[in-house]
Amino acid sequence: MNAASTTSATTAVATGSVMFSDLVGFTEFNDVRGDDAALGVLEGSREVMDVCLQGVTGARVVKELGDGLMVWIPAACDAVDVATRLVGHIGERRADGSFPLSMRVGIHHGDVRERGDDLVGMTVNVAARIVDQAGPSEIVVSEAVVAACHDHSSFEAIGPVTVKGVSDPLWLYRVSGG
Amino acid sequence: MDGGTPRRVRVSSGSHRLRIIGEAGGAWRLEGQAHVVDDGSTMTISSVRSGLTVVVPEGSDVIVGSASGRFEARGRLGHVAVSTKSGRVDIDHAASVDVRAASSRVDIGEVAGTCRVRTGSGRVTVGSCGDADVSTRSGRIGLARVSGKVEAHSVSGRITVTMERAGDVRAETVTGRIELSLPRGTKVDRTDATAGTTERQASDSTSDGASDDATGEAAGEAAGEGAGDTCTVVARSTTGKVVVAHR
Repeated sequence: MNAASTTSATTAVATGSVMFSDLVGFTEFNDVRGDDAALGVLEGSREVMDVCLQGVTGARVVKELGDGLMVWIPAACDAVDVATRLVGHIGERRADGSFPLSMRVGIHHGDVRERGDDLVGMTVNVAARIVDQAGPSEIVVSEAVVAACHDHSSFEAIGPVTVKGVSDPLWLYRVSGG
Repeated sequence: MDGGTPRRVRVSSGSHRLRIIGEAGGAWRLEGQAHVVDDGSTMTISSVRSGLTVVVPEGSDVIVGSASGRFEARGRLGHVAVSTKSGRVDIDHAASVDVRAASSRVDIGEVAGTCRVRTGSGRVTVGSCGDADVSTRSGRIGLARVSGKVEAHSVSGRITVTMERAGDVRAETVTGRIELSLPRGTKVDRTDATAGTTERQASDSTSDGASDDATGEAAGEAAGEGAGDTCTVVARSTTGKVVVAHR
């Protein structure tokens, strides 16, 4: 690896919210229902995400990660709103039988580095860990998200959570009704 | 430390055993080594250096974060929130509960309000609660006496629910079995399974033979008998058996 390849691509710093979504039980669903059904589920979840992101300033899907999506939304309150709509839409589809799995969401707010179309940094790493703490149809957020929009939404404290790769416990909250 | 009035306790514990005891009229006291900050309404305990016992007034709210180590809550407490990577979680009585564990057995006695549990693996049992919202990847879920509504999800664990009274139930698993017991006379507005086998059992029998095949469609029919309260049941197992019984 030469020096240029280690330094040239990572540049701008931005502040905003990183949201990860995850389909609960996707691997097992894929195993028992096959690849075609799994592909349909992935396309369905992407479709719902795209609908929920419409009109949200600066929001975009950064990348697809297996059965999950990584999303950038500059405003923390917008991120909570998007997550709430997302879980709600998926819930409606599950209720009418048109979508088989639950979705869960984790959000963190802070600085990220842009690397091409990708985003990197601890905000991204932490957001990826937060989604692991959420149950089906649940939205879990960091203290930074709560601080950014505590007047906007209702949050319930989960407590200090130790997550892999992060030295200090994170105070996490669930979005009420999420 | 003085006491008597329920307050909040926040504990960040590493890998040590932690006991919280709610005592009627009990004074605050702490047995073990830790750093304590008390601002009058919230007691914050950190830097726990040994097994710790904290006695609090009955009804106090408790929020605990630990890496591992057994957690026990005895006596009557308010809201109890626990997050841990591993280590058994055992809670006697609480107004409401929120437990998050990566790999832990979770045993909960009586919860007056909502009982919410998330685990990666490990068995979850609840003696009684209002609403139940429990999910696990590979653990078994047993909810004994639920008086509210139920959300129970597992990927590969069995789900067993006994309803104290009619309440809406959503129980979903990919490869596990679902067993739901309803009070006699409860009318079921809807029962469905996306796949697997659904069996509806009448009261006083082990099986009435009303079993759907593996296509799994069992929607629309009332599964129970009598004219009692009505509830909605959505019980879905992709490959496992679903049993809805009246007792």
